[in-house]
Amino acid sequence: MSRQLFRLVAVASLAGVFLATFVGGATAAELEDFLDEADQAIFSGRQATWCSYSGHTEFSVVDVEHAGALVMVENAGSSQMVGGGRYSVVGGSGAGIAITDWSSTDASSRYSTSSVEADTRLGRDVVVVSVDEEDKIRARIWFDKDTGAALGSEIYDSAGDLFRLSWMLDFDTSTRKLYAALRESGSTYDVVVSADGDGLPDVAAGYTRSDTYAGPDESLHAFYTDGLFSFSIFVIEGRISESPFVDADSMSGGQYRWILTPSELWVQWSGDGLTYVLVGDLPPDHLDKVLPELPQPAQANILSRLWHGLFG
Amino acid sequence: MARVKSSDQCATAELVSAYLDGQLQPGELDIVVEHLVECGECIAEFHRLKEIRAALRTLPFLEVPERLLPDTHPGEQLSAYLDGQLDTVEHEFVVSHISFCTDCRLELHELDAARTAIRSLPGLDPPEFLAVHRERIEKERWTRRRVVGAGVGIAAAAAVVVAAIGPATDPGGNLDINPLFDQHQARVSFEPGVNFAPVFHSTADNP
Repeated sequence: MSRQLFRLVAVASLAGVFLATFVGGATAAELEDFLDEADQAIFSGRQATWCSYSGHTEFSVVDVEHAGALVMVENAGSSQMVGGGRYSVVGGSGAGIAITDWSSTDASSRYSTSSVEADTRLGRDVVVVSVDEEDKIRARIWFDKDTGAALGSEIYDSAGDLFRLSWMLDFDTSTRKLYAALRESGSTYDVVVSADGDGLPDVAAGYTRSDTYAGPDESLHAFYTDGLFSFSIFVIEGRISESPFVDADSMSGGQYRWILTPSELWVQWSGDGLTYVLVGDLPPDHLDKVLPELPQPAQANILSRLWHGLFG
Repeated sequence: MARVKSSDQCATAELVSAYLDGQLQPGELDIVVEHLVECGECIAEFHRLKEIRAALRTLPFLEVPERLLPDTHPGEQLSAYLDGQLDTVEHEFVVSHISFCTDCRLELHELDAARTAIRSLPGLDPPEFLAVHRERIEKERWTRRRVVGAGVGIAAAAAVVVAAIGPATDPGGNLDINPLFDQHQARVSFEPGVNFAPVFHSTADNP
């Protein structure tokens, strides 16, 4: 009788572990494990990315080769190699960029995984992880069970609307050109050195400034992350008259100008003789909370506001 | 039974080794050849040394990691690196070295900070003997300014009106966002978050 009871307890315990792991909730640490495994996955294929913000929509399909944290992306006839703090253009004549100093930041406690479910995508077994923020869905990510690769992901805004969607259109568990391309990628790198980030907050709306560097052309580069999303702020001396932002859409009465790409949101503003450029994958409601905590744009005079009001 | 001599006792043992090294002086070769004919101990030693040398030649070539070598820090190359004056091989060496050498990375940061500090030093005032000369030049300039002042004043007033009612785009430099994108992506590559394949310059250039 006692042996039967023991078996019953053992089976119940195993079932509990299984449910907790595959169909129940998971901790932020487990989310980090999923993301770390995805970061180390080896695969290649085509990736489609779609993003929508403030009435604008951007879409792209690129060829991706991923091996450990090394990623090669082919887009519009150009190939770029990114990984381990390095960026270079394959076959490019100029030097790449190398960052050697960096700080690790754990995933923010504001995220939790509400469910982990089994599913099938591209004929492969996947684990679907739902990531919540304050009891609202923030992301759903499809992890390949075999390789750990993220086959797809959906990012939602605070209203529960889809902000960004990314899917592998085809998937191969090997890489085809990455290592050959690695030999062709730049052999010289401009090393980015660390710098002081005076004037920039250590934390902005839940994003921690993990590193600050000297940016291109004597600008300052601060990198913020909450463990799931991230953005960079570049602080540039002086004002800018020629840039892709000149004809871009504006918000907050013309004080900020923004550009949407499938993978990033760019925002530019000026204040105190400095130009600020933000680039990152953070969702729009996070951006709305981050901007007020960063150095503020200069107040436009009444005539300028009138001009923006009349002509945009 | 022949008496076997110990190699320690054999005066020509060193010559045998020198023979194998090709370092015999003139006349010593004959001594070695004659000795090898009669000395069984040295013949055995000769073959043993040959085998050791052959075995050593077949060993794989090992590179000592740079970090274990003394005095391999880039030193003055760090300054040349910041000035962009290194050739490709030297550049690779410095980049590779600072990726693991904390001391050199720190030195690089200090060098960079020192260069920035030097660039930000205030300009020097001219010596006194030039002050008189400068005063005269200033007077001449002031005379010319008064002549054209009225015309410029009218033009400036017109410009102020246009600036006040025109768009608030202050004059400034050009901004190429591609280097910003590259540096952002380089840093993001350390993050294990939900990394979308970054869409590079084609979109960023033409938003």
